Amino acid sequence: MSRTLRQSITDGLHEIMTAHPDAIMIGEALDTRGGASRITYGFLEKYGAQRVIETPISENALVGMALGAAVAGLRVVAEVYSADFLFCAGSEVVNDIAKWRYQHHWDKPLHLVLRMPAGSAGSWSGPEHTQSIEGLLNNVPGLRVVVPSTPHDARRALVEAVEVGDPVVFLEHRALYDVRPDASPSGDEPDAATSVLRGRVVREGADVTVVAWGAMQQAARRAAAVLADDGFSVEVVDPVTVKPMNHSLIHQSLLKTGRLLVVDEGPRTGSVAAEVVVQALEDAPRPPESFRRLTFPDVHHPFDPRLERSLLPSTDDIVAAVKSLARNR
Amino acid sequence: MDPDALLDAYRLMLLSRAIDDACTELAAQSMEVPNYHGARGQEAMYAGVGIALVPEDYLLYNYRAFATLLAKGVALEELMGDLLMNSRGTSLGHGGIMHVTAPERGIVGRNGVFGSKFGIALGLAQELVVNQRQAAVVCMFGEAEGNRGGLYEAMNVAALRKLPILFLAENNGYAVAATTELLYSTGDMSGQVSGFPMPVIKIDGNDVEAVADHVAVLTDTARTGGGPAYLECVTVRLDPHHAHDDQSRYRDPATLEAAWSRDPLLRARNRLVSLGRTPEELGLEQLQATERVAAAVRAVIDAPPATIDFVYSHTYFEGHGVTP
Repeated sequence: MSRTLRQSITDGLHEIMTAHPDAIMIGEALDTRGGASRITYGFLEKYGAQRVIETPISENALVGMALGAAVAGLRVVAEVYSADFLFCAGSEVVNDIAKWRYQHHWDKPLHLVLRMPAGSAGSWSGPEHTQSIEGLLNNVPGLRVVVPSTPHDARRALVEAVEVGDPVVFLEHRALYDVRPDASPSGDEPDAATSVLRGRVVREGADVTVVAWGAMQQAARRAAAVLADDGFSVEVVDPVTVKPMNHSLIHQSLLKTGRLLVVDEGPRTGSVAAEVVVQALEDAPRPPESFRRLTFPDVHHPFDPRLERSLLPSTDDIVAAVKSLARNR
Repeated sequence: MDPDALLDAYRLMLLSRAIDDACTELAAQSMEVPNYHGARGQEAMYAGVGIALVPEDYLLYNYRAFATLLAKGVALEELMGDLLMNSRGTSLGHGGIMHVTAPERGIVGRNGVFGSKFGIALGLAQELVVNQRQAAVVCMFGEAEGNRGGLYEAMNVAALRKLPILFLAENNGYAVAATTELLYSTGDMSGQVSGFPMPVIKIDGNDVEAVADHVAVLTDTARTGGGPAYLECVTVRLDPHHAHDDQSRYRDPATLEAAWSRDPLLRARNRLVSLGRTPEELGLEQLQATERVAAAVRAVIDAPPATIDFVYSHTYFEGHGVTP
């Protein structure tokens, strides 16, 4: 039976904890309520209290503990209750974790993943439980930011993230927890030897390159299917690792299409989307002749999902943007 | 304390004072000694902690803790290289005295912003627990750092999980320019944490024997599963906060003169004399410390600075920008 993204993350955590006796998990309510997203039920009993550590709501302690344990050589998967709360431990993330390798000429890998729910579920959550924080983190050298968009990628990306050697902020999109692989047209899954974290072209096309991650990647795939019926050929790129992004993947695609659309759930100014466009304009062998961003505007997420929905980039928005780019030769 | 151990501690104190004298002299010659913070007045505390630790213990140090770092195995030349921020330092000229890095000696590094070492201490301690190693984490911090909320979060988690951590509070009377009384509601550091279910002890931090004895007992308890403790060492800062701090703006001459009467070096020396050491041999020890530090300075002062390629190669693991 196919597994949801939520279940796939549970599977990935079991894979990590089983394969590595030096792997630990840290988080709030990990056992008492399965963590923030009902993912970690049963882990305490299975792996023991020395490896599954439930902390109070003390983000400085939790995130700092994750760093200390990783520095001491353990494999650490820590859960922050919400991406929005990561900033309670902002100094730990930006000043300590991101800079540890440089300031301490750390030549060894740091096995450190901070995983957390992020993005909007469109369910009366308000501006502090909905944010897409990748734009904020994009300006911090030393961090990796991973945003999977399918159950398969979520499990593989999590397992790879622990091994990549750098601290990873792993953003689990709230709207995707219950998607199943068959609920959406997923691209070809890479073989086991290929890194999921490098990203990939999930749908080939000739007219426009669409780059999106997380829930927006799912919207992009839906839009590509609609557009195909209308005679537009869209190439969809899922970077999976949002920072540092594999821009060459996008630039290769632009050799074919020459047009670029980036869909980003985060606010417009300083968005990851802006960086994708600029890098394409500066560095791509064939810079895009036309390009657009679809983003959240520079405002806060309203509590009311009817208001919020009107601000989030939608499948229809993507369809319209692709058509406008394709016609604008 | 056995008299030989006391002499060892005194030697560390002399080295620490000689480092201060050398740094002051270098600064007077307009040499850069970046982020140098003087340790004068606090040497008994730093030496006492240092000689009580074992190689397996983790140390989260403070930037004045020259004697503790030396006791933990950092070579004098490496320490001077870090103070001069060049390639002979443990941080190869990138982190300097603020980021002394010798993980094989239990010194994993140091956070650059006050207050986040407490969480790091939890993680180091958890590694000791997971790997069933009999060692302790000694987490040293001053008044400024001790008012960050992370301390209270970490003490709670340490107590909940009985983690092997000694929280070592360095009360030198000032958080930069503000007195301890001005910043702590109980007037001292330990009073504020007395409700935690762990030993919370306050001692004379300028008594090197008391410091070493207490640290030895509390770390031994931690190493053998007895859980965390909090030790406040009351000491005295004789230097300004750092080289560019004019302490005459907040400390009148009489206060400073009174502080000098608490000089721990004189006190340790008198104690050694009372135990039978002669003033001559102790004078010789002082000369030797000065000479060793001078030799270390000569050995590293012309070492090359850090290189820019390192900055690029140490942002991501093995220099990989995009995931391999």
